[in-house]
Amino acid sequence: MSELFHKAIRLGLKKGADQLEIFALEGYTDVVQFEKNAIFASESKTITGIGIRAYSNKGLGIATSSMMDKESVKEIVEMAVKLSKLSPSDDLFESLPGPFTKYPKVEGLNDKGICELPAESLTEMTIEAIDNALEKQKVIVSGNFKRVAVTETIYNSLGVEVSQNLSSLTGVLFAKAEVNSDIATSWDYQKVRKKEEFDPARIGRVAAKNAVSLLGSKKVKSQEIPVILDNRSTLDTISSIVAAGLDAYEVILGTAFFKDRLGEQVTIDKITVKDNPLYPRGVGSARFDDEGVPHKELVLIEKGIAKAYFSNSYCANVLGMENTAHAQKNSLGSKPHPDLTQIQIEPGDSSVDEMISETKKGIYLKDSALEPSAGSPNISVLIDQGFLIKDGEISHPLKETMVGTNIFELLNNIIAVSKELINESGSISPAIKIEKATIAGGK
Amino acid sequence: MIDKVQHILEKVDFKKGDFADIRVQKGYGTSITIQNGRPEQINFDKDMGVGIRALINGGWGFVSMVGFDVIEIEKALKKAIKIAETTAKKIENKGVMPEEYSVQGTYEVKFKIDPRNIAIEDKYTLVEEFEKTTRTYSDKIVSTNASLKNWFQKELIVNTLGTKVINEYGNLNILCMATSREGDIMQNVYTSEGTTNGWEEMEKYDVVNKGVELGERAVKLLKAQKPPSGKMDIVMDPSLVGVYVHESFGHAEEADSILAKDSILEGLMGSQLGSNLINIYDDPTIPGLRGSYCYDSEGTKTIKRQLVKEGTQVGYLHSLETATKMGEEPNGAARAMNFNHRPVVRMGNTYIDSGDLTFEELLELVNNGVYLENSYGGYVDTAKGEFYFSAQGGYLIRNGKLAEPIQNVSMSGLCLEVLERTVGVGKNLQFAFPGSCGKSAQWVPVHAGGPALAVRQIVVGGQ
Repeated sequence: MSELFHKAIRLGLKKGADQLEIFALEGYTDVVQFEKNAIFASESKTITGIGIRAYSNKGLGIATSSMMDKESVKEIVEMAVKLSKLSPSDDLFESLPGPFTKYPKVEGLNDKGICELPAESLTEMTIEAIDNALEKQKVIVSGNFKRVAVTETIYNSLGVEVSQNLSSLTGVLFAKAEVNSDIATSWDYQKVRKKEEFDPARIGRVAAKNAVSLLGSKKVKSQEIPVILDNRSTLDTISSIVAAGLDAYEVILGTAFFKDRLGEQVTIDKITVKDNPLYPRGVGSARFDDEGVPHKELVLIEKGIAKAYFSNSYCANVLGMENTAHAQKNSLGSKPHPDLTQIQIEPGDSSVDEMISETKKGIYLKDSALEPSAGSPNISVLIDQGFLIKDGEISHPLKETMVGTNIFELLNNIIAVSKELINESGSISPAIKIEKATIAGGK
Repeated sequence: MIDKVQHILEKVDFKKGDFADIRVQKGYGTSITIQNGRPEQINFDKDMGVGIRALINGGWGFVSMVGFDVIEIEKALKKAIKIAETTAKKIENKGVMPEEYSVQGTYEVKFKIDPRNIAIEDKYTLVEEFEKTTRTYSDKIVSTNASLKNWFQKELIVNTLGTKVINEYGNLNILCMATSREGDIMQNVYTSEGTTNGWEEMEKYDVVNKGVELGERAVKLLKAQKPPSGKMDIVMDPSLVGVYVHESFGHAEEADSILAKDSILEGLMGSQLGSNLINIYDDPTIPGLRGSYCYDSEGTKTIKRQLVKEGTQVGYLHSLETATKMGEEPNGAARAMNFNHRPVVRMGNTYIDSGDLTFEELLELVNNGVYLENSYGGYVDTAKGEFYFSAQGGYLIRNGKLAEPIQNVSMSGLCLEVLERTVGVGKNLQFAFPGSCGKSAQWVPVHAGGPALAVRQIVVGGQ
């Protein structure tokens, strides 16, 4: 492929592009699907395609193709250059990144055990998860188990020429428990970069147990009470807030929650958050970002103080800041934008048991992100994996209950951080307690 | 090409009850995005590949590949058969396809003005005007994003039952989003339109008026009140009704969910689900909507499907497999996002049919409550039948009239409660929700809508 990519870059420059980038994926995914407690289909799908990003006079053209033969690559290089010439200039654009001489070593990005896993073994793992779900609980389960192996290659006209192999195993299992007309649903999941760390039995057991624990849900009255977020809820909530709050592109747009607030206290001093793409075997880990820039750790919030925006090459140039190597593409055809890889939140000194026992009346959320609505600091979420806490104990699951707050109130109302951490293959988080949030109940 | 593909299937000896199909797809399109006055990106995307399914001894196998090489397609078919055989050894619920059901046909898209023939510069000018009008409405608009996308695809579908179909599909979508900000108060709004008609629809779309309306809405919401919370009577606008009928009800009508015991409607065929004022349809044959198509991804010719008649459940959405398992006729609802995915049961254009009340009469029915307008997403647990939808804004309803505007308002409850508690159906049916529906990691274009509805005692909340 190396010669094909070199030729593509030469062709693009010859056709008049000032700069050119190639982003290519080659790989496959195997999926086992199951529903109603049984496997029903297996799939083997291609993950192959190429995207060309061309700049001419600061105008950008992007062209993609699922095909990577010579003719298809030639066609999309010419199209990307043509579109870049038609596009008005983006005066904020300065340059693609690179070249770079040194890339970090990250342990465990590609596992032979995953790549060479026979298709039958993926089926066996799926059955193990289903059997464990059904062993002690009366539930109906569905979901899928997946193996992905892909090579990601990035070349650009400034001399970036990098490639990395990534593989992973993922299992998702949804469980539905039903007693008379009372229905409860829940799930569990795991994504790993090492076969030996994959635990299908746990996925099945936990999903089924969670679903059964949510039977007997009751409505509550509208009120303002404390909310405890378990580790997964905290991870997803803080991740979504930081992702929108410190994104350098959102800073340029004027919509970042913490624009012009670097160095300011944005939450309590017990909160320290970093993004760590170098964590061994982390599912968000990689040697470089989607522009081929070497990855590194970045402290985002330190003792409650906003420390840094995360950026790609475009934003770093515009804001005059260091490129933190957070470029990510949603698809072959998307322009890379800053995004987090995997966040790690420092532990506190409380415990989840203490948080619950010290709560006279409150809500305990499991695996439920209090995410801000897209682009807005407002948070309004239906609680479907939550419990009422009464007199220091979990009382009953909730139904028809919404929680409303906004990210500034949430961050300032954190009153406890747990010492227990969850480590989801590189994403690490404690649990937190929020002093108060508005609950809209159906009672 | 279609004869070559058919020949590949003919070379394999399938036992009675076994099945295979090959779907060859070529798709391409352009998209333009402008953000905060700057060109964000101009794209050309092209997809070419083949998706192959095999049902052997009741087990399903699926293989996808890029390109159209006949020898590679043959190899992929053999792999799909092998995967299906392995799956069959481990399954309990065997897959079944009809013994006899074949379709032959060709559908060619005929645009009045073909979007593929419009110069990229003219497309850019339209998006630029939309974005600029919105952005310059007020200096409180801090961010804008406008885009235009057109996509065209051709599918060849052949199967072992004798189906041989060529189907074309094309769509156009225009959208503008705006964020207004005053200190820490931020409001997000958007407006969009989608069609399977040609460029003539974009010529009719008044981007200047739409941009001004959007900017005005974004700024006005900054001063709006926080919503009340608790159970109250509401009026839902056609976009909220569209999201409701698609997400909350339509997905539960998909026969694969029924068979998987993942739907609240399981066992309720023929039952009264709600008010007899309610009639619900899914109709991909309506010309020009985003969810309109002629043949589905299994080659079945699609038809208008009535799902609810005067409050009673009367129909499901079917693929070939679900129709066979339930002893019903296929109705052309199996759709795949592209060659890289298996067809699954999906909606097209879903709506609650119009009633006879004016908007003012709906407000009078509610008297005191909340009006929610312009949907802003949400989600549904189909198994539990619980929904959550948010709106870009709304109004308090006091003494049968719209009163103060409110921001960030949401509604939640049990899916069937909305049908049970509907007390008034408006007369103006609007397909106000042009969207993309996600299921099984696949996104397909859909439209949804209805008239405004007055509904008793729904949980309302928000920030």
